[in-house]
Amino acid sequence: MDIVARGIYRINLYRELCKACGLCIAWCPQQVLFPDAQGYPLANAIERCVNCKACERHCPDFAIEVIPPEPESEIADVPSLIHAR
Amino acid sequence: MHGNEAAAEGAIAAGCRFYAGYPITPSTEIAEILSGRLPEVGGVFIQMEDEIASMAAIIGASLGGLKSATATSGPGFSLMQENLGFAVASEIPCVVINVQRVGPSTGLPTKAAQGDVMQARWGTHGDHPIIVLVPSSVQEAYVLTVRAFNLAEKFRTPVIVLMDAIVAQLKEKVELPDTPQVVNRPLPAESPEAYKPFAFTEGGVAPLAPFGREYRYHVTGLLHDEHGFPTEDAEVVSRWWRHMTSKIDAHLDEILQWEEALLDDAEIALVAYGGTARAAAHAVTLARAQGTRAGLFKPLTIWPFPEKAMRELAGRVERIIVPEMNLGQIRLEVERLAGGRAAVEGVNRADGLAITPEQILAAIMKVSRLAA
Amino acid sequence: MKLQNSFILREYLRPQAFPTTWCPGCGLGIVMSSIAQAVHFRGLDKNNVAMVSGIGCTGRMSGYADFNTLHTTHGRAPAFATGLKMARPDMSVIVVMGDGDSMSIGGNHLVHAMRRNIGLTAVVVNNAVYGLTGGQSSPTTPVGGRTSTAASGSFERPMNLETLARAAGAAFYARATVNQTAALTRLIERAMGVSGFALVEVVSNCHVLYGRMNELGDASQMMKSMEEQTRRVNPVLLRRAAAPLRLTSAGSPATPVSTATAQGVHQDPRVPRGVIFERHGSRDYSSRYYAMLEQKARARA
Ligand SMILES: Cc1ncc(C[n+]2csc(CCOP(=O)(O)OP(=O)(O)O)c2C)c(N)n1
Ligand code: SF4
Ligand code: SF4
Ligand code: SF4
Ligand SMILES: [Mg+2]
Repeated sequence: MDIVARGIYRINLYRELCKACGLCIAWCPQQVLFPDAQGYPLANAIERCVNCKACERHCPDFAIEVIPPEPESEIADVPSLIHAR
Repeated sequence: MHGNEAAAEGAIAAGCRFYAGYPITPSTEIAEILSGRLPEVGGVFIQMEDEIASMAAIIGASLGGLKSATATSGPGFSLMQENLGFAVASEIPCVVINVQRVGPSTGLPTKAAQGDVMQARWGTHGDHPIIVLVPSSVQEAYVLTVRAFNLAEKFRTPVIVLMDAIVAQLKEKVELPDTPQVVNRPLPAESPEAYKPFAFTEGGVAPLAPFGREYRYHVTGLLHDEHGFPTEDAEVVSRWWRHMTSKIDAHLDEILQWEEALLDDAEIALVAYGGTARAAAHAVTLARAQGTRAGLFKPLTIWPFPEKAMRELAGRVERIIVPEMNLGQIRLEVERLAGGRAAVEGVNRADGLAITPEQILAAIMKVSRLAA
Repeated sequence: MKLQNSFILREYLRPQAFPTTWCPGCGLGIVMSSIAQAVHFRGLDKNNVAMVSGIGCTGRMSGYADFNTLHTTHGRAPAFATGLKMARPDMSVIVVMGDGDSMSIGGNHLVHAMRRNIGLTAVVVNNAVYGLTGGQSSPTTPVGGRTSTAASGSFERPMNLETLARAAGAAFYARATVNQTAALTRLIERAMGVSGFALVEVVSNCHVLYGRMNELGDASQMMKSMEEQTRRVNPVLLRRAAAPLRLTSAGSPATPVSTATAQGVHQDPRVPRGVIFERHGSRDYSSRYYAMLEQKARARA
């Protein structure tokens, strides 16, 4: 497993599952991911990641995941009048 | 009670709680009767869109934990072969009642025949074990249907009850046992983690956990390992074959049934099954009255065939006559087992008419003259 | 509501069966992930969920999902599932089929499962081709689409599953594309809540066979064109169409308006995605059957 953590988010790639199809790279709206020589995604611009999970959701092989910084609940728990559900 | 009714009642008595079928002469009464009887006992009756679906549905229901059956006749039996093979490969207990009529194709829909004997054995593609029972009376239609469910549960295999229209439509008195002996499906003793739904045991089968418990497992028609996952590993596949054949072969004593009449001193043996065995029994009496020592060997389990008994018989008698309402399907098997020690002949017709005792008697007299 | 993929893998899939046999970039993995998430969001106990699949690349899915799984024969999945659902009406039964599986060889089973309105959630993965067998024409191959059995382009009329489902009596029909992963998950989740036969058609990519033969690009390019060729249906308009406003009093003379309405309306050639129709008041066949049994038992008592 490659772990890249430079910005606030972390990206795990499970190489044994990844088939280097490039879908995560193609669907990342932030151009975070780049293919290496064999086509495996590298999170070279992790600082641009916004945790939209487009890469994760489009991965057909469960090979990539985006890990938010530890106390995510803190952010999620901030009450918002506008988007309260 | 007629044979179809006896089979339907036998199914209920054996604990059948799911029937899926598609109407076809001469088996339709079974569906009609069960459509009324099953709801009375809290069971499910469903008329499917065809026989392919009927066979599929009973496999699905069996996995859901219900004892399941379907009934059909020739053309429908042909359609069932695909999923019958699925039930064999995935070891799902179920019962198929085939009331034979004259084929091929639509054939003679209302006329009796015994032309599906080989189809019952080899109808689905690939080598496979199978159990086929043949009743020759209404009483046997009941008893053997109960037995079919028991064997299906015990050996996790589809069991075919091969009737013919003679037995299916015959009205006879039957004695129904109050509580026939019934084999129910045990739950696995082991934990879900340790459970191997398709364990390769020499001569046995793993209990089949119903879907919906904590035993989540995979069922496939692809050849699979003990956990049910597909494999192409030749070593695993050959172990699978050993398991599949041994689960039947190790229990032949229990599975095989046949009846013998007047064979002790017989020179001529009749080998007859199903509706034809009735005429054969009569022919034996007629022959004995004329001083010819004839006897009857009547298999109730036709597949696997009672090979050992047949070999012994061939060593004891001079001649074997095999009357059947087909062009000689079981005769082939008898010839093979006789191995030239007894001469084998057939009395055959496939024109929709029953073989008469007189016809068989004539054959007996002909060979007894030859012997003399 | 963001799920971690590793969580899905651990909870709802069988990691020991991975990696899948599917080609790199095949949308089938996304469909499987969406089904797992839909089960999760519905809060179902996976012991009580069954996945029944047919034969094909799509059919392979049941081997990877950690439910009670049944990989049946080609096209027969709805019939197996019908038996299972009737035996275990409390179970959530998901049926996964390919386009050839569901509409060609299994067409009759699908039609009758919809007619009976039996409580199954059917997911039809439509990649417009026979994937497993190497790219032959399927019932949804578009006219002109090249396949290994129609080298110069298919000239058969493709099947319209939506119309078929309407006519046969399905309770719910939705269309999703594999690139819209969140919508796909939501639609499957919703379909699983329907009492009766719910069908989700998932437009997926077989870039390795169909894509290559028709120069449609790689997986991501095929998914991008799904984006361009489909449009989201407007649920408000659908609701209005189902229950039109009545502007005149009930007894007033009617003027036929059938010809005028469509004039000047821009026809969108794009395929709609989202919930296409839902029959209200639908009731699952298995629950109706068991209600009948109870009624009979009461009548006898
Ligand atoms: C009775 C039968 N006929 C043919 C086949 C061969 N076969 C396997 S999969 C398949 C087509 C699958 O196409 P589709 O349903 O579209 O699934 P996909 O592979 O595209 O997901 C065929 C023809 C079979 N397995 N069984
Ligand atoms: S989470 Fe979104 S922004 Fe971050 S790498 Fe994935 S697709 Fe790109
Ligand atoms: S989408 Fe998944 S399998 Fe494809 S390259 Fe990215 S991580 Fe690998
Ligand atoms: S052949 Fe096509 S449908 Fe099958 S796994 Fe490959 S891309 Fe997917
Ligand atoms: Mg396909």
